[in-house]
Amino acid sequence: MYGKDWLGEFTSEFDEDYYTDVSEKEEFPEKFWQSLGERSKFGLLVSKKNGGSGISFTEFVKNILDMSSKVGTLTYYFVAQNLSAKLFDDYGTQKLKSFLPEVMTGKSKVNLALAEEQSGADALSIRTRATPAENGDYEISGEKYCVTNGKNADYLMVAARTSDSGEKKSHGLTVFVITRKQPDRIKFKELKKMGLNFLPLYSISFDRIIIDRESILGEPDRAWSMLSKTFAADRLALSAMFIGMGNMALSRALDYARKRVVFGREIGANQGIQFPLSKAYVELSASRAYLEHSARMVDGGGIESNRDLPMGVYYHAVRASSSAIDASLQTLGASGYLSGMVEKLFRDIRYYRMGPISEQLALVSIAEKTLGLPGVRE
Amino acid sequence: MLDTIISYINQGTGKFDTHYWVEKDKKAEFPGEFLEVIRNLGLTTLLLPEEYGGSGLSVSDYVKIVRHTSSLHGVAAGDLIMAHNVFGAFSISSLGSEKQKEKLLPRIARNEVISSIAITEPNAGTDTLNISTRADRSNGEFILSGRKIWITMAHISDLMLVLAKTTKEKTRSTKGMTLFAINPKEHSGITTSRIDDIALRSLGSCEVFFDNVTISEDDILGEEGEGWRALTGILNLERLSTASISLGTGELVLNSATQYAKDRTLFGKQLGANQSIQFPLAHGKIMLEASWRMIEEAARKRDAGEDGMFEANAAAYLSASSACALADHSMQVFGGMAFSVDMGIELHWRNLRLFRVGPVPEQMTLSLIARHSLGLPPSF
Ligand SMILES: Cc1cc2nc3c(=O)[nH]c(=O)nc-3n(C[C@H](O)[C@H](O)[C@H](O)COP(=O)(O)OP(=O)(O)OC[C@H]3O[C@@H](n4cnc5c(N)ncnc54)[C@H](O)[C@@H]3O)c2cc1C
Ligand SMILES: Cc1cc2nc3c(=O)[nH]c(=O)nc-3n(C[C@H](O)[C@H](O)[C@H](O)COP(=O)(O)OP(=O)(O)OC[C@H]3O[C@@H](n4cnc5c(N)ncnc54)[C@H](O)[C@@H]3O)c2cc1C
Repeated sequence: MYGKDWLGEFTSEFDEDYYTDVSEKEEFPEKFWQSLGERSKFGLLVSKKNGGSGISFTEFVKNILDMSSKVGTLTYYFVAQNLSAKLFDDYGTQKLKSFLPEVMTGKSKVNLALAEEQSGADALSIRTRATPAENGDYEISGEKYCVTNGKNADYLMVAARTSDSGEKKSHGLTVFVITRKQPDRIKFKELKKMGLNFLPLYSISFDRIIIDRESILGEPDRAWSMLSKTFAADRLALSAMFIGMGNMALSRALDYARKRVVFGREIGANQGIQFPLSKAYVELSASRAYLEHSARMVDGGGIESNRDLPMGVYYHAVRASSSAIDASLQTLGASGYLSGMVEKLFRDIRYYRMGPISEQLALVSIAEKTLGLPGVRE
Repeated sequence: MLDTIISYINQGTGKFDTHYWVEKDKKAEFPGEFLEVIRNLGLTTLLLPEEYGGSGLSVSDYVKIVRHTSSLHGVAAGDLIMAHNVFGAFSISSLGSEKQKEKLLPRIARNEVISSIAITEPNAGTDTLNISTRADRSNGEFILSGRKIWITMAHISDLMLVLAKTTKEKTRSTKGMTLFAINPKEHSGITTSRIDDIALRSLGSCEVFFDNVTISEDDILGEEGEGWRALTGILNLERLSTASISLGTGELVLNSATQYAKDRTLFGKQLGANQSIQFPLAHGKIMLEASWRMIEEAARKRDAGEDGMFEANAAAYLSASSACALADHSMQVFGGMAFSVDMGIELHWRNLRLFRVGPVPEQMTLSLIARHSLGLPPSF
């Protein structure tokens, strides 16, 4: 649906069937990953001086729109890896920066472990702790919950408390990058789930793992401001993916609605089928206009004074996409309920309505910050 | 330039408060004082090219002004700006013959003209091709007869764009319809009758009767038999205008409800601290933001001469539905007070409801998009 064929030379192989296939088999899309890696597509946001492509955020978003309208949710880990690489580029120590080449080419996979079972969406209440040892290293203990690809990640970025919050709740968090497997001290447990089946999910427990100072990402105790910036970018990038997913389902449904004849006429000639598809297209198009505007603001620097703009875009996009996929499933009738692409998108998109930011918390943010309404805590 | 106009609007129209608009609506009385002020501010000639004494604004800037004015004063104010700019300044300067331009544009520039558009008939609203108003040639002139309905400001109009059939054939075709630009005050045989209605009451909408009205060939706007084509550009701009009026008025109700939710204390806490009160407001805010980006895209396309039919329709649909949902929630936030006419909340609720029906009902927009943007088979 988008003009530029970004995947270019290797589109034929990686398409909706590929997405459906790896999701069905519950396997990581390794071939796709390698293909992107060979072209250094995980360093898109990394500065040129550190070997990345240094493209604008607007361009990045266009890439995601393109990619996700072909391979749907497979775009998720592509987004995560690119944002991790950017974190290494912006905040990494010499040591962490030295990993950039393997990260940009996908030879090493990176993932963030932030959420904990008891913390839920209130990330500032995490309990994983890091305590300094005498030699300057840190010792980390705690448990993380729902970490995407956790066991297969080569580098885990773990958020931990390094000091108590004090006045500002956001004070006292530090991100450590675990670069060395310490199998006797890290335990993984796989969690079964209802979608995103090409990516395994783990809970992880850390028992006094040792991390050196060189593996701290960003400033100690000040991780929250670094993470918030990344979350803003992540929200916009994921929004682009939702829009692509919605369009992917919609194309399939439109095709079907034009051809399938029941009661002597195409089902798409019925307003009950046609109008929800029109609405979906309108909403997805509005999402895209909203997203592209915000992406330009990221590039122009205006996003700093407009931090909850990405919340609005995310909320709009995840809903538009969910309705589009739902309307598509309805259009496909029984054939949509059978195992296949649309049913998989349907289950995948459901996650994004609760995480990484839930619809409720996106609304809370707009209500409090944009409209100045009283908060839950008051 | 835009910032200057906006600050003039803020200063110049500040005195027209809720009370003013509520009273005008109650009495179904024309907001002449407001019109006088916005005329002096140049808001009625934004789309008139500079060479004729207007501001020659781009559509992208025009929609910002419509939005802003509506966010202060609501639907009637925005509609006034639209009628002057779209049915008057734009239509004549872009479609008029040299003769029409010479005759009308100076008057438009001097703010002597109130414009209206007469398309709808009792049996042809959405089904425009079914109009029965006719203009028949006779001795080098046209005899216009028929009946229009819902024509806003027809009773005070100095320039009325009238769509009529000029072919004898009984075809359902876009050919054979002609658009005329006439001054109803200069003709005998035109009568208007106001409808007792619930939207745009201060401006007034009318039934219009044409009883063998003699009009001239020079009154044709565009080409004979090509009225449909002439309308396309006008209606696209009308779409962008109603989108911006909806959006601005949506912001108006959002701001009022948000303020009320902060000010009112119930059960010992601010009303707005309850998520069932605040979430629909936040949701509405997001929907308005997205709608606005769609309006901007449609306006940008229009300025660039690209086809923005989908964007304009989508923008009008989205803005109207988002603003209506917000107005409805505002009725909830204000509780019983919403039902007091003097609060001025139900005024916006009623007025905004119009845009889900007219100029184009939601069903027609969705069906147009289904056919022309999505390639689905016709449903009727
Ligand atoms: C497939 C998957 C992949 C994930 N990947 C990762 C990962 O890679 N790394 C990582 O760190 N985490 C990951 N997570 C965790 C995810 O970020 C969390 O699920 C998310 O932060 C929300 O936490 P929770 O599910 O415990 O919800 P809770 O916080 O327990 O919330 C439950 C419900 O209550 C609502 N709620 C909470 N507070 C409020 C409030 N104040 N007002 C209104 N409603 C409220 C929420 O919106 C939600 O609907 C993943 C989760 C899943 C399912
Ligand atoms: C306050 C006000 C001001 C107005 N100002 C003007 C003006 O200045 N100039 C002017 O020309 N007109 C004006 N109108 C008229 C307005 O444009 C029409 O009311 C509008 O186009 C709808 O036409 P209709 O009323 O004939 O509805 P109808 O065509 O009778 O439609 C009735 C309903 O049926 C639905 N419908 C119709 N066909 C189908 C179908 N095939 N499938 C599904 N649903 C269908 C429509 O969507 C609508 O909801 C105004 C109207 C109002 C209320």
